[in-house]
Amino acid sequence: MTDRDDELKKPARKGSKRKSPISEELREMIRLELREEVRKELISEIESGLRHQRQLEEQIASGVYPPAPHLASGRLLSRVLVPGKVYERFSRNQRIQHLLLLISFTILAVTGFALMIPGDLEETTSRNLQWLFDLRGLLHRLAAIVLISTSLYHVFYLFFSTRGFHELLCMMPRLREDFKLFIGTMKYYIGRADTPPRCGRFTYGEKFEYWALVWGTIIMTVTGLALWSASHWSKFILDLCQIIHRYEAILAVLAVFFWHVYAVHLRPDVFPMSRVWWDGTMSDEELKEEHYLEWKAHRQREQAVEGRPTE
Amino acid sequence: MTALPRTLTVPLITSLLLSLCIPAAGQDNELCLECHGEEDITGILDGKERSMFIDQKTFSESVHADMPCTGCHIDLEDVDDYPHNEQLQKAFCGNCHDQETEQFAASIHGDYLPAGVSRHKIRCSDCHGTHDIYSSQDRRAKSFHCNIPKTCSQCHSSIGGTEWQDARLRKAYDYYAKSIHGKAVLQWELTLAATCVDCHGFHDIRPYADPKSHVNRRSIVETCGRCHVGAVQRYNQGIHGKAFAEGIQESAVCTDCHTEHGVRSPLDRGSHVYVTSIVSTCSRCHADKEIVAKYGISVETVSTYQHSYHGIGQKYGSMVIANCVSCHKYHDIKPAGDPSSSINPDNLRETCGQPRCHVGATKEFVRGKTHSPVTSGQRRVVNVVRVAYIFLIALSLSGMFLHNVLDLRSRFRRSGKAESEPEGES
Repeated sequence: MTDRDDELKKPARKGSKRKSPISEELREMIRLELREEVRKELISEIESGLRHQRQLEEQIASGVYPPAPHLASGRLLSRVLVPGKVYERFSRNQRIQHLLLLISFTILAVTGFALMIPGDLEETTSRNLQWLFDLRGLLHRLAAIVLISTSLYHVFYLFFSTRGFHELLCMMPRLREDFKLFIGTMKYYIGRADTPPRCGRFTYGEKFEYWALVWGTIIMTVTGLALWSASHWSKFILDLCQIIHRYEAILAVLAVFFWHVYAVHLRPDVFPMSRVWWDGTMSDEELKEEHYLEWKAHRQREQAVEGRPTE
Repeated sequence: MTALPRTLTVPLITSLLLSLCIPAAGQDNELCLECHGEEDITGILDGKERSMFIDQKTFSESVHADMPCTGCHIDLEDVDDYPHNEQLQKAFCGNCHDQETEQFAASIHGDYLPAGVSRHKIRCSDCHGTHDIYSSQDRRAKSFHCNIPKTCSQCHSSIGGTEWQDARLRKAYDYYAKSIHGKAVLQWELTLAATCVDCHGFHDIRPYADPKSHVNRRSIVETCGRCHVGAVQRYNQGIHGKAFAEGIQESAVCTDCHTEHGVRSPLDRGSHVYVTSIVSTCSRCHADKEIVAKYGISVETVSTYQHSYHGIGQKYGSMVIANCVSCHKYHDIKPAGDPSSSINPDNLRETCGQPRCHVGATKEFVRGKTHSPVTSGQRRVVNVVRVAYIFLIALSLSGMFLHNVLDLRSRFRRSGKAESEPEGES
């Protein structure tokens, strides 16, 4: 240990003149360097902030409103059928998830209900359609794997991405409010009210559909996997799973047809097909009509952004 | 024609020779062969003109080579006048072969004619030939093992037997030729495989309905068992065999599953016991309401199978999915109570866990009644779940439908109103 170290260990008192181990020139050099670095950092931060603001302004100017509060997902969209302001309802990630769900669900339904084709014994045993039977089984199991993987990814997406988590929070059923909205809508339908009630991001119907899908997928996955690994379960469990799998499938397919297909294909305002699932956009008018509260929040945010001073 | 008339020359020379030598059989034949050895000699037989040529070479190699002509054509024994009377008696084989003739007379081909059948009686020569009767061991014989089907097909095929009403009689040879026995005998010339006479007998053939027939339902198992020893032994240990022995006529015998003339290998797609045909073969009795009711067999056996996953796969023609014999085996089918039965609860793990099936089946997997419908009374929970689901579906679907009908209505009303009102702020 040298003297210098002992000196450094002593507490420096204010005003005490102490011989510093670092020379004055060295200190000046260090100061200049630090100043330079800090200056560079500040400049780059300001520039990125400015860039961000410019980007935001561009998006607003081009007519794409990013959804709140996540502002950066408003990418350029593929196709806009209705001119005018549009709103990004479905991000690309979500659209891909929905597409995978659509394809796997359809294949599962078709290959699943193929087992329920009635037919006489005599007329069919002469045909050798074993390849068809095996193909049906293979496709059903492959589509099941796709669905299960998509569902697992979806859970991951809901909890680990900002947008996903936000949408999950919006989708949570709030029984009192949703029930009020339901009653309000019913009153409107039967003419007891003049205007429909004002819904938020997701209507009670959409929430119902989403959670029914979650419920159905869980049930079908569990029973389906049990049937797939038949050797390990008792006949009672297999019989139970078979019944549940069959009837849940009937329920799911009918619900998709009577509810979802109506909402996206058969309703007069979206006939022949709503474009939301394909390019993710929803027109401003549609947003205002279906999800008034969401529309209003957007308007307010947009005005707040526009009111911000630009450089 | 020589200058001297035959009528004089032949008997002259013959009597001279005869007086000089010890009469030998062959010498008599020489006399006959003087005319009948000519290839173009013809005569009337059964109303038609036929060749009366006798091939000496053939005859000398036949079993009757040492016989004189008059040994069979006995009405020519003392005839000196040649050419002899053209209307001869048919050669009567019973002079030597008396046992066979007696037997034959009592058979269906002999005097025993079912009422209403009009056809000519079969003669020995129809099956054995006339002057070309070889030993049965000789490959040229009509009664040689591999030639027998052809011999019988003279009448019992669609070519020869067009007047039969019963398809079995008419097409017996046709079916047989495609069968495994037929292929073995006719194509591969195996002398071990069954021909017509191995099952039906030869001189004592009786109709199927006759209890003394070898192919009568009561005797068929024994007949098949003469060759198929192992199968019949297992059959007799199984429930079909035991039931039949007790006198239950409807119990399956060999021909019920395998059919008779057209028996094919189980690997042949045309076989009734081919993988994809087994269920329909077993269903002939096990899905027949009368038989099932009469013997207390389970009513739901076939229908529950058909509604199960195995049944659906089988309907599509799957060759690997479980069918009746996969679990029940075939000849030695035993009831579940029998400890050696493949469907005894203690043996089920092995049965269900067969190599291409549920390998690694657990004890839990094989518990419970197999041929029971999914919602039988034992499984009330399953039935409750099913009913609950039906309620749920009905309720929710009608709710959805109602909701959307109202929605549609309100949208139309709204658009109608919007048209009649001035455009407001959007």
